[in-house]
Amino acid sequence: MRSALKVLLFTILCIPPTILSAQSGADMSIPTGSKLFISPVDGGYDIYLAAAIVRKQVPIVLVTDKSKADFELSSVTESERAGWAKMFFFGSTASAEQASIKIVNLKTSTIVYGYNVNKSNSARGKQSSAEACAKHLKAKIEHDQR
Amino acid sequence: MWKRIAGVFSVCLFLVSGLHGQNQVAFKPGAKVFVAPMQDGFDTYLKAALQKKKVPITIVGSKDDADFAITGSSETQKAGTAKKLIRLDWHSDEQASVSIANLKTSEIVFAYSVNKQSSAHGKQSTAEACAKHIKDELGKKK
Repeated sequence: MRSALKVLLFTILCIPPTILSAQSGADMSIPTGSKLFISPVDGGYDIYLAAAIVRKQVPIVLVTDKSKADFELSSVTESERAGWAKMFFFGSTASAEQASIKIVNLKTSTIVYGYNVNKSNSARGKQSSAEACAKHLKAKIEHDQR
Repeated sequence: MWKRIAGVFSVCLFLVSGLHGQNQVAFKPGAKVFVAPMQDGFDTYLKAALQKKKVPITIVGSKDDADFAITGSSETQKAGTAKKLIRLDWHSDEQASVSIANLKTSEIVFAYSVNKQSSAHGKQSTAEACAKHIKDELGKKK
């Protein structure tokens, strides 16, 4: 009876963390060479993201067909052009940009990555925010690989 | 016996790799490209820029005849009163982005974005920047 209780206690203490760690480790990673589909966005921010991913040499394959993809990237973005006060007081015509992305594993429907960026004085508009997203995505993939 | 099995296996592997290679069309000079309609008629500027920069691709009018498709978007911010008065600058700010997808494999083979503050020739400048970089990309694959 005591030995059975010991076994039960051992199971309760040891197995759940093992399962949880295995789940989070397997589902949250984006392997190198994965196929990523970027959902179309009003204003064409998806194309800026594609260009940024190519430019930052993120180790994934971009596809235009969702059925061939392993992951899906969806995003939202907002731009605010410089007003007269910003131009007058700061001498800056740069826009303010903010964007947010999330990546979903299409097989498990798990959100594996999310990132927000806010640039109050964006040097190159949408391009800057898209490149920030791509840079951090690359860092995540490289971190997963290690 | 094992030698025969290994021989048959290697022949099968060779045939499969050959078929796989046939399906993939490389983005190289002479590729047939369809330019998809874009916001504000940026596709027209892009077609003109591709011609002007002598990009070695064939632009086709139908997606069915093409191996690749160019999609893109562009945005223009005309100079406001403040910019005109404070900076004495009438030029617009332009940003554009293009991506080229292989229509057979659905893979994006090239993408580029450009941002020009006070663009000298408006959309024409951003379209020509895109065309120049597409030409450079093709130049790498000669």
